[in-house]
Amino acid sequence: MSDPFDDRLDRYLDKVRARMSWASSTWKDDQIAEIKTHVLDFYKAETAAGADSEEAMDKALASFGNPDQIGDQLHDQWKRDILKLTTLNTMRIGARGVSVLLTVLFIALAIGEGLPKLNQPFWVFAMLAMLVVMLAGMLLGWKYERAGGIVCLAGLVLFDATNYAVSGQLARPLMLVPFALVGTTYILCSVLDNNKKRSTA
Amino acid sequence: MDESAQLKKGSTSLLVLVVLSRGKKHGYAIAREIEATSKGALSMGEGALYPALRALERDGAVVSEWEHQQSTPPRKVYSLTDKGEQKLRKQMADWSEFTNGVAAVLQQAPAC
Repeated sequence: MSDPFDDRLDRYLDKVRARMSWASSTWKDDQIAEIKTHVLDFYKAETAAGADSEEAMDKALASFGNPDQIGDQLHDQWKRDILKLTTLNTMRIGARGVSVLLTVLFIALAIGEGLPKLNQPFWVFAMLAMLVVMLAGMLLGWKYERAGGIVCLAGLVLFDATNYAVSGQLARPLMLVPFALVGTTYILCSVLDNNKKRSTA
Repeated sequence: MDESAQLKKGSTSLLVLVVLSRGKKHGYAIAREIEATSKGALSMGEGALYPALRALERDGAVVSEWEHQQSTPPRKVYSLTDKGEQKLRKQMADWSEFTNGVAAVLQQAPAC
């Protein structure tokens, strides 16, 4: 393609870029590169079909649309991407932070208080095992969010069920809320961040 | 924006999902396939395609990757995800319900 048309395309792309003021340079470069390839493909198809260069570029740019409008729409998408990413990261950091705190607290208690004696009733060990399952789920969630969240919540339900079976009442909510929050947050993160490729592809 | 353009804009993500259900493609190829399949009736403002692709990508309906080939510039190709397939089925059902409803109302209109 001759230079004058490169200039026209560059001016068009500059207008698109100018509208995406807050987006990161890398993100903007990505969009611009993609649009440029698209316009050039269109241009080549038009020239191959017999249009002269100027006519082909006219058609390519006209077909792509108003650069200000496209830039605004892309910028809007970037803002939504950032909002989603920030929300996800905040949720992850929060869940992981709480999981570390609870694990440290559990280890500190186990060291300070010691583990239950072997002559304790079976349900004591059952509840301890459920607590370990919850903690394991929270740590698993660092790598496998959905699985970790499910394990954590399953441990929580079994813990409370055991407690209810033994004492006739549910465990103190204050103790279980952090586990429930972490498990639920992991599952939410995995749902929101679900962009796996088609399994049949 | 005229009403025809609004209808096209509203259906862009559905059209993109249908095209991608037939295999991975880059933006230009998506636009051409929509245009060719609809015999030009749905040729869109091609710039509208990319915001729609960004939104589908954020929703996890499509994923993209840059493909580098020796003879052509790098191209970003898009493919459908499992979530995208579910979204496609849902949107097709919604669209079918909508068009059937509109068709039923149009049948009552006096002939022009």
